[in-house]
Amino acid sequence: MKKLLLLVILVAAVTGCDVDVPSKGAQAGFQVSGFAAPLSEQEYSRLSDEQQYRVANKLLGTMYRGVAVADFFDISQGMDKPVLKEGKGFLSSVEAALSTPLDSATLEHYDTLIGGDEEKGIEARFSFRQVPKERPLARIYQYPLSKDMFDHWIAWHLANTILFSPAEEIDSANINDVQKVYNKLVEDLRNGKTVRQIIARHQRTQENWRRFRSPEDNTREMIEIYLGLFDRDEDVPRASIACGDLYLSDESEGYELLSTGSPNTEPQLVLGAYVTTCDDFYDLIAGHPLVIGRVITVLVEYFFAERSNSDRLKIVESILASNPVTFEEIFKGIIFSREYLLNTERPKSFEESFLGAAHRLDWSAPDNLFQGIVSNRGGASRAYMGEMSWPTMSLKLGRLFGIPMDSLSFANYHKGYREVLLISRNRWRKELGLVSADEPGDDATAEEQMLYEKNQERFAAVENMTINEFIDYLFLSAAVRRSSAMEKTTLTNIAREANFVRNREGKQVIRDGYHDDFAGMVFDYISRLPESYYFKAIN
Amino acid sequence: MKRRTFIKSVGALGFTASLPAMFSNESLIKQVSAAPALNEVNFVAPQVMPQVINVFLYGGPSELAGNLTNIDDINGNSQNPYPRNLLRAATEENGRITRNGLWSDAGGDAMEDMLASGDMTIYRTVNRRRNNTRAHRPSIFSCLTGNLDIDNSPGMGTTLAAVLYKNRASLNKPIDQFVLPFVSFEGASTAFISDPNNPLPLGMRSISLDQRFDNPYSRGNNRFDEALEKLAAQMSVGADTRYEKAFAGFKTRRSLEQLIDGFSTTLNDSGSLPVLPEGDVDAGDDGRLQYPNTRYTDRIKAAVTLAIANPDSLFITVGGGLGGWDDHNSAIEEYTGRMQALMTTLRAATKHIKYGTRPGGGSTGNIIINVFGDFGRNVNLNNSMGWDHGNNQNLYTFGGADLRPANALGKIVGKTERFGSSKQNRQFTKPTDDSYEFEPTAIAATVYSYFGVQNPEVLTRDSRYSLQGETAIDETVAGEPPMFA
Repeated sequence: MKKLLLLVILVAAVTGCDVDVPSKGAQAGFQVSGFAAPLSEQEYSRLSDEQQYRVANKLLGTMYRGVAVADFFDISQGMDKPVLKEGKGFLSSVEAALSTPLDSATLEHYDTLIGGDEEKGIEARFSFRQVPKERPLARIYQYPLSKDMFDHWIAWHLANTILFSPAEEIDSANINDVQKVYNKLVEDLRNGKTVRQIIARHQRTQENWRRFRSPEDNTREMIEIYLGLFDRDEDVPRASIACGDLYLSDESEGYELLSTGSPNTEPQLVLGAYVTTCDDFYDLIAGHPLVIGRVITVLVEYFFAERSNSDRLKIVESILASNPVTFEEIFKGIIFSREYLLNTERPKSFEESFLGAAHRLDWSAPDNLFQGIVSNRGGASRAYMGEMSWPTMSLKLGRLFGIPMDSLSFANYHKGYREVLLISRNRWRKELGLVSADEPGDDATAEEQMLYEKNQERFAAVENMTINEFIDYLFLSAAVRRSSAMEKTTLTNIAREANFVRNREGKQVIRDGYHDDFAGMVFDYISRLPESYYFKAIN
Repeated sequence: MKRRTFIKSVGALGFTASLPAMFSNESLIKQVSAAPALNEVNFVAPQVMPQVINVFLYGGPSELAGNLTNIDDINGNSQNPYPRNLLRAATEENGRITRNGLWSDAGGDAMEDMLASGDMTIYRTVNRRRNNTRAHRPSIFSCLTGNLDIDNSPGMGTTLAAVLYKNRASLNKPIDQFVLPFVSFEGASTAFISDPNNPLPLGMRSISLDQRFDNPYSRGNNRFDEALEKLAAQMSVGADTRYEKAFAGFKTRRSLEQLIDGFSTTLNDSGSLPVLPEGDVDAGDDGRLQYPNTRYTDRIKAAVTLAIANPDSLFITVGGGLGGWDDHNSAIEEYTGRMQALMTTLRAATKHIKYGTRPGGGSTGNIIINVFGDFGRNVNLNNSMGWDHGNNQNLYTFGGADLRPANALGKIVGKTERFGSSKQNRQFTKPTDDSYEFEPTAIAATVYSYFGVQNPEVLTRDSRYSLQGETAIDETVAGEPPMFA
């Protein structure tokens, strides 16, 4: 392989190419109409309180977030008829939050909270083994609802799909490629780059070439991935001539994207247009009329995996007809749609299930949580997503469209969800108000004091609940529904047999000090219900 | 559900007003036409129930480990030269070409051993002529569904399950008594894509297992476990359809909780491996089979262990986690070691099968291992020193002497030649005019035929590319003479 080696790393040289639509971020007033129109506040407010809670947690859960029962309802008067705290304007307030960036001081505060600051003596909330793969999830988990959190969630989603997977599993890619792909996506989203601009930039990167490693491989995959054309074998050799000056060095030379310094000069007919250089080809792809539809399709395939073909097609068409230009618009179009929030039922991914429930339970996450989920390390490794056929930014062709629910993947999913989260009572009992929290010391921060007061407020409410109310409280928290009569009866019988029940003024209540024991049993039961692994439809 | 139809249609057609009509019409027609195929199957229950282990090499492996017969011509026309020792016979100084034209240190020596012992046959001309897209997705899907209508075809394991279920009355054993008949060691597998038009009973659906037989199906009990399980079952009425996948997962969990521990014990008991004839290269100090320590060992050993221990496991898939075979760059250095590891592992696996004993006795000559991938690769070494996608590949098939015709094993079938413009990237091998060849989907047809399908072409045909369908591989075709006398 003795070629004229003009050792030009191309990454820097070819960035910054504009593709037809100028960078302007999400369009003001952008809204999908037709089949995928957003759920209106009016329709949301007409839902029952319980349904509103379910919709709210479907929306938030999709973004790996959730709202606790005691934050959504005023439970001070019990669970029979709790009053909504959140209600009017919930959807628009979430939408507005996702459009509002955190100010730099707040962002720094949360990053310091997550990663610590040795100089300032601030202990890290989380410890990491593979920072590029674990910290993004920690940020999604910990940041307040904001554009920053939303950008990270979008980037996480995209970097796990066929569209932008860094393909860490293959020999020529490594963890640094994960970091580069992910960080560049976040940066682009933060700067309001369009879908086309992001694709145009990404195609030219070394990271993309480490995934698709020869001119023929790279051009074929760009046509397939970004245009959805799988039958254009005759275009591939011509496209690869346009990119023929580029190559990936071998392992000993560090898998660098290099050029021979002799770009092609003969125009090549590709997909009905003439391209001469690889830049031309990448621009052709990024500017192609099929790009936006293809991107929407890939995302709709995930969020609406269980819907019929014709429904999915209508959703794609509806979003496409609204002319989105950014990923933010497409994602919002999907997750705020009436079709998604009210009419779609689908299995949850592990992040959606686990992190959504963690937020609903105000779960106190262990510091090595993300090591466990992402990297199979530490005490939370039972929740390792790789064992669920759901690895992080690893697969060459990205994660599957549907959530893997084969027997082995699901067994690991269930086990991780049950053991690490639902029956780990030490991590939710104070937070749910099942035991009295420790009074903070004199040196407690305002935040710690506030947290204490919140927990105590919940504790007071829980203490007053009858056993039926308490069961409903637990069910709404973990299963996002109230319990049935049969469940109340059976679980009460179990509680009685376990000697958890006493009589108080003619009402059955849980004995003091046993609320968490009983809750552990109820959560164990909820972990055994198939419905617990699904986002439900309302209609 | 026709998920892939949707992807393909939306991607290919653009976004015009005509799209919905074209999409729905096409999928409706195919939905209707797919269902009757099972009714056309002519089924005769096999005398010996086969067990097939399907090892799929994702990414598309080069054929060269099993076919260096054209290497001089290939090297003379390649943009970049091959290593010199790859052009010389193994009998010459540091040469790499074995007697039968195999790549000695890319598993060739191990393959020569298996050919000599009659445990293996290589088909060199698995050649995709129909719908030759050279794209991963259609190639993987067609190989593992056994049909070129990839958008409307279930996986080959699912089709096989459907055939057996439909003809269950002809089988020697009640179908509901089969334990783990369809197993995946690769999680969700394309080979087990379900057929929405023909849902199977839970027991006939695939179950995925861990290669170490780790047992995630176990669940620490609490004292009210029984009551909670009972309540969960009562509250799950209707969940079998509404939350079908999780429901099936829980049902499977219960049945596997104990079973897997048993297999795990067998897998981890080195005393369960067979004693090999004296002097065998794969024997350990205790004379028992010792698998090499390769990246393939865990999955292949687990699959073979399961097949031997459980004759009810009829179709087992192994793939994923087997290292990508998509060698677009640095191919020779990566591919050589990978093939060597694969073939030495398979040599151990064939001995495990050959000399292994079942718990209840009985021959293991019904166990077949098939190894193939998406497609082959071109033979030009590109400027990243790799091979891009091609369409001619090898099928490596092992064991199964009880099922195959006489002389089906111990040979190399198919003759190839290079074609394509010199010093250009698109150079491939193809079968010579006088060579036997078959389509990749014929591999599925052959598996169906082992299980008693007399006319597998009805299951492998489609309305566009293969109107007649594929027949089973003709295993009586004579082998090629050695490359070197």
